[in-house]
Amino acid sequence: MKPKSLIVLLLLAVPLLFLLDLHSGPTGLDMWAALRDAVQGTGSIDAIILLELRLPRALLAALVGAALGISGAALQGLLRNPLASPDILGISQSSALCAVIVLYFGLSQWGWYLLPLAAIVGAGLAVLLMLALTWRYRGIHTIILAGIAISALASSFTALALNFAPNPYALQEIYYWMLGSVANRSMSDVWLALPFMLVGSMLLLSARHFLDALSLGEDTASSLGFSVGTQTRLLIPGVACCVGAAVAVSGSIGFVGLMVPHLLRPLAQSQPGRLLWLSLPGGACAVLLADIIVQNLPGQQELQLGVITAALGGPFFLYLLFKQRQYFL
Amino acid sequence: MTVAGMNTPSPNSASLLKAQALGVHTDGKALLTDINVELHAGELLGVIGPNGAGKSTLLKALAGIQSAHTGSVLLQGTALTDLSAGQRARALAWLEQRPQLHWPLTVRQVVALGRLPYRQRRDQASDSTAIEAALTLTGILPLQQRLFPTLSEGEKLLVNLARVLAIESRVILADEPTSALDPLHQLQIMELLQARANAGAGVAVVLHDLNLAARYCQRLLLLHQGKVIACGTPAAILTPALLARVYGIAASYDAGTRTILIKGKLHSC
Repeated sequence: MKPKSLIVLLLLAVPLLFLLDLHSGPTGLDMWAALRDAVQGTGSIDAIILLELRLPRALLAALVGAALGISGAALQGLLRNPLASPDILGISQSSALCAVIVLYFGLSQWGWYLLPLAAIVGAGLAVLLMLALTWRYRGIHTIILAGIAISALASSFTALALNFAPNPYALQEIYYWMLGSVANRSMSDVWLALPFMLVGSMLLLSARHFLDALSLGEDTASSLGFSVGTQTRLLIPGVACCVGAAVAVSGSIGFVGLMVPHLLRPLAQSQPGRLLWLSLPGGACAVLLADIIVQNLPGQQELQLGVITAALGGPFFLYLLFKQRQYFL
Repeated sequence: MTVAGMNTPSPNSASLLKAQALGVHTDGKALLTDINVELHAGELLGVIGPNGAGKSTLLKALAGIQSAHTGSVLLQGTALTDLSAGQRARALAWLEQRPQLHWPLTVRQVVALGRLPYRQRRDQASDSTAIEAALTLTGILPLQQRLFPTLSEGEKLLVNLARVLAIESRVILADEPTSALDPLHQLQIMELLQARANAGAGVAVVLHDLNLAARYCQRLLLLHQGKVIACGTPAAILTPALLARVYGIAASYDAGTRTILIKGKLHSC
């Protein structure tokens, strides 16, 4: 099939998966009745389930996926490395660490914006640390090694912070922040994340031409009229806003930022700029799909969404490493 | 931006690009010291010198990629630092020594990247005209849908040259475009650069092959240890004394056939 018709399919898949996700849940729901009641405002149980439980959940799945997808595409373009993504580089984990500190030590009561802000700062610091660690030589393995170090450090500190927090559910909470989930969220979470995701995506999309030019390396990009410093300063807060906002409402969901850009690269004809915006619907589809699977798996307790993305993404990451193994030798 | 001088052959007197007392250093080590050089419209200037002489650094400084620590680079009288990044990118095209491509783009996509300096104009017609012209001129039109990584070294360099030509800049700065190429591709590249110079552009090209330099360049700039040793016609630069001093070789130049004969290395060096 031609890339254009595949792109149309991708765009059609978003509303389709969104409806399927709305339809999924522990209790059976008459969608039409619920929708009718919701429109009429009669406040039936069905309407409440739809509007207050399922709608925010599906919206968040789509938004978080889009934000992680575009962040992954931006990082891969910036580092010119198909193995880069927010979770492999430890950006999501650092973001979760800062969110946990704010949330469990009562700082979030000072203002609703402190949680996403802390998550964004955590993500931004991780990007800066990663760029600093790989300043001299930005080869594949230095980036991955830096990412392993940052993510291990951030994960362990998150567990420690939760352990010290006055919280009887620490273990469950660790599980949530490290694997990620969009269950039990409300519309206020959507409004919390959406503005930052919009700003972040705008920042990333504004650097799309630079990412195209960067295909030829930093010096040639500079000769084509791009200031590498200025453009990087757009991309870092862009990634931080997208990842931070996603983590603040869903924990650190892994592998979406890695897989989505990689799968869509042929559709974008390998152009980093086009890949950016394609990764928005692509990421939305990926997390919606994972959320549908999570809700329809048989079992006592619902799995965290990140388990599914990791179960699918882990082998995929190994496959990518395997394909690129000549670079390590 | 005007493109005066692009299509009309102009007299050699017009100075397009000028380096004044240019100096570049890193970590306290001087890479370039007190460089004064002018690039004229319609001229093909060869930049020669042994490895580590500062040729690539000079080209980067002239292109505005490497900032000058002392002195300045003037484009038609205006300092590069006073131009916007877009103005500089439309006026000065730079071809990297070993161009790399990090994603498997097609030939046409790579050449189209040369139109990025014009992205704010959104004039797709003139963009595709320039891309077609560059593809045709370099003879790679039949390859335009091929993936760049599948090409030979010679073809890859032609693609990158086409990208540079698609910028339609008044100045072209090419860093060793002929190294690692077979003789036919070397001649092809040099002739394309010469044609652009004949059309009125100023072209500076770093060369290791002194025969190519003598054959195609009107003037040569001889660099050694970050300093300009001499600048002039091939006959004035490729003298046995200068070649012995800078390169440490015994060689003679025949101005009639524009060829250089390297006899051997000097033991004193």
